[in-house]
Amino acid sequence: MMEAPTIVIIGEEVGAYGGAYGVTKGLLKEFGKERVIDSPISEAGFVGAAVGAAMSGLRPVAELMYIDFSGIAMDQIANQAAKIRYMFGGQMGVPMVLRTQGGTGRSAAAQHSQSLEGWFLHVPGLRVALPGTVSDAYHLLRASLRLADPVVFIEHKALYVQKGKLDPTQADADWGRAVVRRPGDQVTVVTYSRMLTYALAAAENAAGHGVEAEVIDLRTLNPLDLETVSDSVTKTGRAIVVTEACLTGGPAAEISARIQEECFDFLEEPILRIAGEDVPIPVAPALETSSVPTVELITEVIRKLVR
Amino acid sequence: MPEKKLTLPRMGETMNEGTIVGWLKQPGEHFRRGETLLEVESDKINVDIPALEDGEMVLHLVLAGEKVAVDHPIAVVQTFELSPPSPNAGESQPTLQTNVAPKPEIQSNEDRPLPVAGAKIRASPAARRVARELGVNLPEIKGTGPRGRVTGTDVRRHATLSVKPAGSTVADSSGQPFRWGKPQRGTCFLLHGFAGDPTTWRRTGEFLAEQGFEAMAFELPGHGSLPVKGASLDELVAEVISGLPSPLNGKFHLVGHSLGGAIAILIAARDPGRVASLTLLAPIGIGTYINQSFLDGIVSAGTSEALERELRKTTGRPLSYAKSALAAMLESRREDGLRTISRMMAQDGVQQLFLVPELEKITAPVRVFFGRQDKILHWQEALSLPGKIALHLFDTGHMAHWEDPSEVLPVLGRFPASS
Repeated sequence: MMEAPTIVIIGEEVGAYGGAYGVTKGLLKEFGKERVIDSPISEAGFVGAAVGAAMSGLRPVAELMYIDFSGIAMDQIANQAAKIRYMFGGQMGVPMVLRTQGGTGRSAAAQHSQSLEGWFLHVPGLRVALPGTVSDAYHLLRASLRLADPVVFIEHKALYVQKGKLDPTQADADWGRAVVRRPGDQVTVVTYSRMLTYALAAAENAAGHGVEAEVIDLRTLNPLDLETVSDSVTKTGRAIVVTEACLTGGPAAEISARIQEECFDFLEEPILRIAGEDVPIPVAPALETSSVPTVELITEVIRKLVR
Repeated sequence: MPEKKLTLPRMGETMNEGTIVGWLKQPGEHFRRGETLLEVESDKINVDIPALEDGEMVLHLVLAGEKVAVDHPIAVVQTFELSPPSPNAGESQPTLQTNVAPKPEIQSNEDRPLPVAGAKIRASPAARRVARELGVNLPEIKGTGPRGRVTGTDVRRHATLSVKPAGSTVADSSGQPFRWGKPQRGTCFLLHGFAGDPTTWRRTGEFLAEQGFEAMAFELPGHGSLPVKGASLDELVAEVISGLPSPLNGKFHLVGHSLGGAIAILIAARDPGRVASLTLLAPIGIGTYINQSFLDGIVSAGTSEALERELRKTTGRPLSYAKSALAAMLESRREDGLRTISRMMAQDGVQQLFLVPELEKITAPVRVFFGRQDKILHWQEALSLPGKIALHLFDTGHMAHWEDPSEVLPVLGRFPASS
């Protein structure tokens, strides 16, 4: 915001309260209420305002408190933001970021814990980014703010407490490129967001049993960096896709299908998906934990796939 | 319109299995008698399979690229015959035959169809790709994956096994000899012809192994992995001799084809004490004529098509060769080596070696085999050989042992005893 005066933030509780998870804390004081706007409780309203602002020259960040609320704003997202450039023959686009958070981990229950990236992945015209590291929370967001397309930037509520080193002088994230977070040669684990942390822990566990898993952090689902993934799967012959989003019709299905199309001749085993259960997320912590993949489950699957 | 199962026909007796190169008739398509239904690759040769009656293709049971055993069902067809089918016609009657006349089969395990575990083999996509690339037969491999699935690693391991049971080839690209069998009845050394390679002895080696011989096929210098060191045939022969191992009883039967025949004569002349018998298949060195266009064409062949044109001269009935085999031959050939050797052998269509004087000195029994359709050499020139040399004539081209193993190999395997 210091570098680009066109960046404005609009959303519920982003100003005086500093954001439901504190991600906009201090911004109102620093940049004033012209650029940090507390909106009424109307997702359709402030997302629509952001779309309009983006069309007229600003670079707005619309802050959606929970991704679960995106249904109310979906017309603005899917029918407006995603389509404007096409509908106006390329004369204008919607360079905005819809910043939101999702996932389990805080007993926030069924209407505040979903992983809905698949909804946005299904709409051509939207970019979808999901940071899984502290550095990407910063550098991937900065890269998103430079794009000409609307970006749905989905953070994970359980990662807000994750500590990590940030080097602000480092270059912004290479947009659309996946990163091999851990090298291995026996199985490829493709994941993103919080499941990256789980997959890395599982890979370390598996290494203790002599199985070396390569862990790929996709970082963006649109664009999807299939090249990095297929390079790895071609090498390992085995692929596991891990998502917190539920199994049926989810992003893991799309990623698996693409790997199969790209790497069929190199596969030694069927591609496996480890995904959330097809259930509303329960509020009870034990049930909540068991409704999404665990480190133990990922470890077990890695070990079973590579015997 | 009876529906019939089409099975893979045997096209020559060395064939145990074939790879479907492609289907020319798709399900739903009608065909007339004589039209080509599919192309099959076997023993490096591609053959068109024609329909014997009018009909309609119903279903392909085997896809292009897959390898199946002889007599294995490959398609379902409907035939348009007017008369009622014979009582047996509904069963898996072969509905076609090839243009290769059926011949009495050699009774051996090698010639029975390989066991194929149903139509489906459990193998990973990677295993299928690796098998395709290495030319490995998947049903032969025991899978170590879940539910017995064959993995890519299994295929690679299978392909690189350095020790195989007697009777099978030890493939080696490093110039090591190919070996078959155990030396119960003796050892045979096999020398291939100009621009050939040890794999041309596969059927011969297997046959000799069945007969209780150990057979070893050597790669000649200037072919594949070995360069030509000297500039004369004498040096070439010295090099071959230095590479020959010593068999247990000290003696070996020497079998040479074409250029390998000339080299065999020179080995026997220089080292008479070690040669138990000499068998020369269409040898160089006993006449004057040679097909110079074949030599020149082989030396300068730069494409699969050019190479195939020359190879078609080597058999009585010109054959089509598998693209993969041609590509492999092109890849492994050494043009400089072949050119040098070609000059040693012949100039302007005249053989430069005359080895009958050497032959006359050899005390070990000598046999000469020729095909009467040889297009590289004139078999009639063998008629003027000394009377003590046995001459066997076959109805083949230049590659008698390869073209007609069922006729040639039983004769070849009866090695004459030294007097």
